[in-house]
Amino acid sequence: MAESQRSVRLSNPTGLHARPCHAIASTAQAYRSDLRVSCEGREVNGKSILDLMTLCAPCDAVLAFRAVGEDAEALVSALAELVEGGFGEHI
Amino acid sequence: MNFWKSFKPKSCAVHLQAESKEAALAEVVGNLIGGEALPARCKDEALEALLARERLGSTGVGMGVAIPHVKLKGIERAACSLSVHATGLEWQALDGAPVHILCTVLRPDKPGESHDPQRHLEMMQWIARVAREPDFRRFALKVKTKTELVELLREMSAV
Repeated sequence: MAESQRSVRLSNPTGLHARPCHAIASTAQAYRSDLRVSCEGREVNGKSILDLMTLCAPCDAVLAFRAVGEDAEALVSALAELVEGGFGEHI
Repeated sequence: MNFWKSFKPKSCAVHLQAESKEAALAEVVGNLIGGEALPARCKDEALEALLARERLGSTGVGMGVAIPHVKLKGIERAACSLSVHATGLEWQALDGAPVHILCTVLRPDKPGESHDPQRHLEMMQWIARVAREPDFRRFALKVKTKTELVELLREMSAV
């Protein structure tokens, strides 16, 4: 099973609040691979908005994505692009 | 943690009557005003902020829960309401499930004596932890009174 990992720094000023969580989970749900997201020692299901919200990651925190599945690499690339783009928020 | 104390029974609802997302948000704003958590003068602005947030993207977070959450000018402390809808409302949630539990939070747009943004973030994190507890979701749908609803939050305060 393919596995892909990448760590990305949160650049949007408000960190991982509800809307970015929605963006990550909705992106992830478009892929078949499983996704785990970790931050500061906590790991959650990346396809659940509620799980992601519990990370409470602030601006500048590093999110580590780990996808496992046939489209793992594409998923991690899409997420990296999303986070690096600041979720469309003003950076 | 005593985040549950931000939820006053008078501002909560065990049987929302609304039949749409928009009507539910209006009902919640009315309950917040009725419970004196929100000044009546903020009614229109609060509802418009909540509707605008929904236009930006659904606040349905899955598992039958929505967390409408906006900043509002003119208030000094967060106004919070926990509301239950027995049959569930279409909310365009990511998982497609109807929303039964609404946890609405309107917070000041700037820090103040009664509003610490960092503590507020911690409260939102706590709300997410509570909402993903199956016991919370199950019991919230069974309580009979607003006081029991807030009591349920208190019992969940250790999650």
